[in-house]
Amino acid sequence: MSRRQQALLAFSDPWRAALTSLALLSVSLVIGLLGEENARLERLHGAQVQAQILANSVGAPLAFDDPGTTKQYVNAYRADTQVLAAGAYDGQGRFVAGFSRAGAKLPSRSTEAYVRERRNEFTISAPVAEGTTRLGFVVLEVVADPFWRRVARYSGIAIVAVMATLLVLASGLANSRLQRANIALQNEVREREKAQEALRQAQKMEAMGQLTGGVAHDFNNLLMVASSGLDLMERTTDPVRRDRLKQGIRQAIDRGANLTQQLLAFARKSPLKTEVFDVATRLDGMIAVLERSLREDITVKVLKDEDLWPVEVDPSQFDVAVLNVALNARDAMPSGGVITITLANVAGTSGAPDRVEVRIADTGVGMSPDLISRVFEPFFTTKGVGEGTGLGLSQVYGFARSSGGDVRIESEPGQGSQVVISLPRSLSAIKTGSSQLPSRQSSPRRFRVLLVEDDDRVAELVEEMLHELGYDVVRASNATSALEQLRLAQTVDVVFSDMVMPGEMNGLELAREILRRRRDLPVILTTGYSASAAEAAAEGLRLLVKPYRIEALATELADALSTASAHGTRH
Amino acid sequence: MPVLSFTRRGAASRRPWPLLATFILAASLYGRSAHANPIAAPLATEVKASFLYKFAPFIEWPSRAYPQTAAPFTICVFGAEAIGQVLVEAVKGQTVEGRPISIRKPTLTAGAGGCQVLYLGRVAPSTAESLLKSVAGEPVLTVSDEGDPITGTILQFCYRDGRVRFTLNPDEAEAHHLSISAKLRALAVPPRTE
Repeated sequence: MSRRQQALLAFSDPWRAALTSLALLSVSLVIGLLGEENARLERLHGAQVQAQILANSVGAPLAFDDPGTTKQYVNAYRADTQVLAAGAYDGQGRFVAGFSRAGAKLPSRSTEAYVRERRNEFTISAPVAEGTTRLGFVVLEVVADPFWRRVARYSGIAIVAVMATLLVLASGLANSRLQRANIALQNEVREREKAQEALRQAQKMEAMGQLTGGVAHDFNNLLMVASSGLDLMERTTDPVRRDRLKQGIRQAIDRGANLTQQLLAFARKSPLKTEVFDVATRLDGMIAVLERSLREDITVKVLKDEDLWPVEVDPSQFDVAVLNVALNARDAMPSGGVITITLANVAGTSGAPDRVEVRIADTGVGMSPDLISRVFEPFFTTKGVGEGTGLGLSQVYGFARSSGGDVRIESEPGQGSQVVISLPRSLSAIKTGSSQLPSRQSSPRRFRVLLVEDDDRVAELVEEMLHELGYDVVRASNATSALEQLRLAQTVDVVFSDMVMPGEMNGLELAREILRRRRDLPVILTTGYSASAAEAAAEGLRLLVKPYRIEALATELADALSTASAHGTRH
Repeated sequence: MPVLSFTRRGAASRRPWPLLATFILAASLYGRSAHANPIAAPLATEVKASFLYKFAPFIEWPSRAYPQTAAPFTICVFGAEAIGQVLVEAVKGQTVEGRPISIRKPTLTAGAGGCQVLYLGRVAPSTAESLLKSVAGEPVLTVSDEGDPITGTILQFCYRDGRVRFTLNPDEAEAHHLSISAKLRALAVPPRTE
């Protein structure tokens, strides 16, 4: 029980109920006492009136010495059980007539008027007079009220008060019990939530296990393709066969890259690099890759609107999403079929923004509504172990949502499926560039790249790629030596650095340092590690995610250099 | 106003003693159950005296009963020296309707005019008659002693069960324009028929 809950309990119903009960009892007691006092005064007044009446009635018999009549009058008061004693006394104070019940005693003489109160008895001596002539006294002893009568008088209100008190107490106790139960329930709910969280975590771990298994299986297959391809290439000199083997290896590497992209997208750590582009053009460039990923018995048709609006999303994520949907479509059509990709503008209605819809329809087995509701869940798959990671559609979903768009599935069992990715229309213009076509650098001067990479094998390959693209290369194996090279080398036009490196500085820190020293020198960072990538992206640095293809490298370098030269001309 | 002063001396020995003797004799003869009408004389005298002024609050006199507004309440006693003497002592400090009480002995010549109460003790019937005649129709409470054949008084003492009681003649009360309280009426005993 938390301290707040305890405090809540401490000031809550049991105490309130007790206080209310106490107040109720006090008020009842006060009312009772007031009533008792009023009753006493009334009784006293009544007794005085009785004495006066007796005095009036015995006036004549006392005056004319008629004890018989006097006695008659006085004895009339015997009928009143509350009169304990009554007596008449003559003008000289001598007792004339009267009676007294057990326990009461009349005075032997009475020569003055008085009212005496003893416990709940009144003794009243009243003068007997006729006109101004004093004739004697009467003495009346009256009991205020017998105990049982008073008990009877107050028992009603007492019962009500006690019942009310009990009710208040009972309700207070019940309330507090309820509150305790509620707190217990809250605690239990919290415990249960914790347990559920733990269960979720366990499920996640299990899923991770499955995923790791699936991914490892996929990668093994890819590596098998690449490895055997390379082996076979070494054993043949037939250029046609070598080409086919090269193509197979390329395909395997592409799939591997896609796979890691999916994983990163799922982990939501892959930075979105948005670009404004035309979906149709992008799709045209993809068709070859798409067809390569599908089987021969599957046909891809593309239908597109004229003047399709541009979108601003991460193009590589877009590629992956389309590929993922297409792969699912392929698997839904075990005996072949048609995949129809329809691109259309959808004008926004009632405040909704304009969208571009990418509808990918297959002629496959379709899905039940139950299945549709689950396909976007991460790791959900209908495929066997090793065949699917369960990440495909979840990547599509994640991509669509993080791009400000949406994705939905229209399907019925046996009727095929349609996955509709809708992306918001971009009002920006499409950036025209030759990034699609990597070519050798053809400027009058060859640009020099400072390549910072701790892994020699990678460095050699990248250096070769850079040479291939027409760049001069200066190499450094860590940040410190890179800074040294910068100081010594006559000209360095761009720095291309790995992010995760041994030594005092990592790539990010190196980039910061270079920026601090030479703002005009462009820096491109590269990493396959998503956390570092996110960090770099957060600082607005150029980033090339590993593994990258030579085209991407060419584009990034050209872009960095052109921006730098534009920057430079301003100075 | 001539207020007579009675002296105890000489009055006590006139009639009560034979009565007392008779009473003692009767008591010794018949015991406690005997009808002892005449009670002890001094006691009877005091009782009668007290009755005489105690009647007053139970009776309403018309205002013309008083000669002056400040006149005292006058009790005239005739033929009863002892009672007169006791009364003088008994009424000291007492008032009737705010008036002091005075005790007077009327003379036969002057009559009982100006009295509010006229008591006739041992008097000759002729004297009694002349005195009563002097107050006929006047607002005077006339009282006579027991036993004597005096007629025409409103109240008359008598003895019942050894006590002094009185009879009431309502016609006479009306004739004297007096209204008698019901309490007093209730205490009056009926006259003996024998």
